[in-house]
Amino acid sequence: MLANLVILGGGIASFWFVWATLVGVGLLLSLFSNFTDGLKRQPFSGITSFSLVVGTVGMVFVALFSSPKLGMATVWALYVLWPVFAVLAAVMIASWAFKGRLGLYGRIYESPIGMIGLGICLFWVIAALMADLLPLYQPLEALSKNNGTIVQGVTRKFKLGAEALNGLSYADYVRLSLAEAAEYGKLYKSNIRGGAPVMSWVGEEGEKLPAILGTDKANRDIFSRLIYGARTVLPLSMGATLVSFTVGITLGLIAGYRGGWFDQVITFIANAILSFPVIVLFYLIVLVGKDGNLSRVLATVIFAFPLLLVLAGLWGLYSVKMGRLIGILIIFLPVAIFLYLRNSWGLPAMDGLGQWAGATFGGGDAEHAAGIALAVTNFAQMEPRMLNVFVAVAFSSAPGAFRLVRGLTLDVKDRDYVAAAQTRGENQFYIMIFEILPNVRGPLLVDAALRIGYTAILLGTLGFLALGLPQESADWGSMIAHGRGQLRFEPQMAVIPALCIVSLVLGLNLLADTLREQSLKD
Amino acid sequence: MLTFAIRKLIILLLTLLVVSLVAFVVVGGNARALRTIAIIELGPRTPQTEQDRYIQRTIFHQCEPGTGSEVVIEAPDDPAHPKGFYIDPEKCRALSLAERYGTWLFGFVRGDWGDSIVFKKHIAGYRGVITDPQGNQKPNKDPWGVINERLANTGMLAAWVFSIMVLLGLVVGILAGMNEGSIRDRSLSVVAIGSTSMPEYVMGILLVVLLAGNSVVFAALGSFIDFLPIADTFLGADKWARKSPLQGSANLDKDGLTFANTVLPVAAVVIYGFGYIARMTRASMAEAMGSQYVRTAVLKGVPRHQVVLKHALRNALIAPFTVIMLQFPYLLSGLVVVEVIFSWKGFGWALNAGASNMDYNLILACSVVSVIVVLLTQFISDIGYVLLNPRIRVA
Repeated sequence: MLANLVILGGGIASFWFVWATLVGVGLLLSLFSNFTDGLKRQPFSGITSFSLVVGTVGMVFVALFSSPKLGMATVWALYVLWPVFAVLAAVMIASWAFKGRLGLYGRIYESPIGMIGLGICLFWVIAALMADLLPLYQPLEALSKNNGTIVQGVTRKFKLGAEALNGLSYADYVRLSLAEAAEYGKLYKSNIRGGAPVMSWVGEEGEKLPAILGTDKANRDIFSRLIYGARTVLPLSMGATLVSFTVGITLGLIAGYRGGWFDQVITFIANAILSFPVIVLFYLIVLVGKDGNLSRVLATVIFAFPLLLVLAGLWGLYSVKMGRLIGILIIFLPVAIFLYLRNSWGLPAMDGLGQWAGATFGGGDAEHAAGIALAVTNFAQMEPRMLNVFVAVAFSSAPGAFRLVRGLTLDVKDRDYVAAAQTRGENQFYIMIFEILPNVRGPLLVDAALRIGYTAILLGTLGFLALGLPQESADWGSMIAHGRGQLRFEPQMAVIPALCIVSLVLGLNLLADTLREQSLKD
Repeated sequence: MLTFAIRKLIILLLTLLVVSLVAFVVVGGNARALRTIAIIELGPRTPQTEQDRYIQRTIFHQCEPGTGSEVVIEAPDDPAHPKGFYIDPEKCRALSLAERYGTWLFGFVRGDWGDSIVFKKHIAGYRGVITDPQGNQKPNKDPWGVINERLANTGMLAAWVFSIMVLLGLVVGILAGMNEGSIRDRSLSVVAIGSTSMPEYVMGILLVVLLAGNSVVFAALGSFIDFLPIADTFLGADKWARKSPLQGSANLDKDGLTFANTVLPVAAVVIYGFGYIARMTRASMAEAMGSQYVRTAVLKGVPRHQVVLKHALRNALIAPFTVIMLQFPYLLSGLVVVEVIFSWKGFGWALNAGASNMDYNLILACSVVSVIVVLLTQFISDIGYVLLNPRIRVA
């Protein structure tokens, strides 16, 4: 009883702490923001105070009537993730100290909202990078069935009576409370639905982690999967955005700069693609095209564009120095074509490389290194189903990037510096890539940040509709789909991954907003 | 203006042709889809050769109906032709892609959209004669096809979503853009950014957890009210409804459109969508408020509400109009997700059901219908932009 009261108190306290921090930060931001220059600052308007009241009342309800376990889970999560927070703080403090010399990136630190957005994004990036170093379970690792034994042991000790508590440290006390909470949770959570009770002990004390958010149907630790999920979501969304931007930049520059029939044809195609609702496009590409090699064809087309862009850049730079161009191409082309074929067609297969390396150099290390090298050369084609998803997402966001670049190019191409380059007799690819492109980088960066977020949402949609991504994949959308059936009994299974997506996208949106404001200041 | 409209219309039809051709090639040439159709039509235990024959005969060849139009090879002499069924070249004619597409397009234009495998029903309410897979012709007696009823359900949802979303977006955008940089502007902008980062599936799940059925909030509310001393006096002990009146899944066939089953799906789409409209409106409104004519009006002594409503708002609403119409593809996508979450038996739900069962007629029909809707809204957006903006004159 006492333990429950302590847990309840801890939960309420942590909730109030989080709430007060959020509201306080919001108030400080709105009071001390420098965006109000020249305009009369209004006192608190009706809507602001309304939202404050609603937020307060809502938090009172949540704090009073939700389970205290959520509060304790927050504490555990903070404890497990402290290295991530440490690195994040180090990076952000260092960048803040040198913000004057860091260009546009440094200027993000001049806006509190931008810092929040950047902090959220960096948190996920660092968490994805550091996931292996944290005391987490593997994303596909099923916890052992008898992970309840320790709980029962500790609880039995607890049930001896109050005198058993004498001589225990505070840490032991918290552990006992957790065990009690787990036991308490078991009363109404049957294991038939799958899922260990929230926060059960899973091993020797100090060695392993409790399942902070419980486990899913296959008895995998949800919290670990969340952190590992960033490893799926971030590279996919960033990579797809990058590829779609190279497509958009290559075609948009040419269409905007040259105009004519090429412009008309590409614009028509872009409009045709855009006239599909995205989900219909996904159904067509991912589901229907799965057997028809459709995504392979699309990958062949889409992945050619980075290569073409680099070739166009080289041609623009060295079109008058043929010797140097040929020299560069002799080195560049084989590597580029090798990477292109590896990623679009998986050719050459090179499956035997690992074995060969292991046999030649001996030991598993060489084999492991060869495996990593193979994976690096094959960064896009993770596996056929991932390639499907990657291509579908990149393909559906390429027309938007194309439209943006084309519009910007049309806007910029009559400027003086372009005219000067034309008068100098520069190559047209030089003008496009080295005169126009750097001058439109501001809006492109903003759009890229927004688009990464949008791509993350799309990936979530794909996972949610169980399209394409493997069912056991640890991405957040699949986890939402997985937890949707247990929404009434285990809401955290679906809600927390959903909040992860929201946080990432919110961070990117805030970042994009700040980037826009800062680049407009020029 | 008329030439402009006609030109846009021609481009629209051209786009529609190209898009439907692409969709037809992608869906109609899909091996798994064809195999599914064959299995469903012939039964699961038919040998693969027979399925092949069926696919060949019904989709890639035109054969004389009812005749044994295949050749049976019992003991093959050459290894290139193993034992099995082959199409009789004398009784069947291979169809080219253009012919297959043409046949499909002709049927589609007439309203003959084929049968849905999942719903075991004709897709569109077509009253003419239809041809079943065996080649027999019969009149279609069901005027209310799959797409018609599903589209009606989606239309109701979309109408609510659209009207609330546009209204909310415009109001929030105008309030924020009226004084750019004020605290109200900042807080509303943060709300709008938050809105654009809450996709429908997230919002749907949160709403279901928080507000539907035996939800957290209503249970808490119930125990809170029980806890109050007034509960016994005014409400009677334990009389407070602990169950939310809102439903997490809609049963449209039984209930029709009710407040309880419509609020949450509508809210899920609106919350994701209105932020974008609000941001666009805010930008446009802020620009209008900073313009010369508004400054002149203010200096002239025109009352503030008149400046905002008469001078600024009219000009500021032109850009959001285009944005709102161009939101339609995203709205449709969102509706698909929300219909899946709330099992709202509409267009998106049917598309999802069809796609999970490789119901290729249905997938094709849904794709083309959604493209038609999107293209029409784009057309309206183009025409409306010209009509609204007196500064643009097109020949």
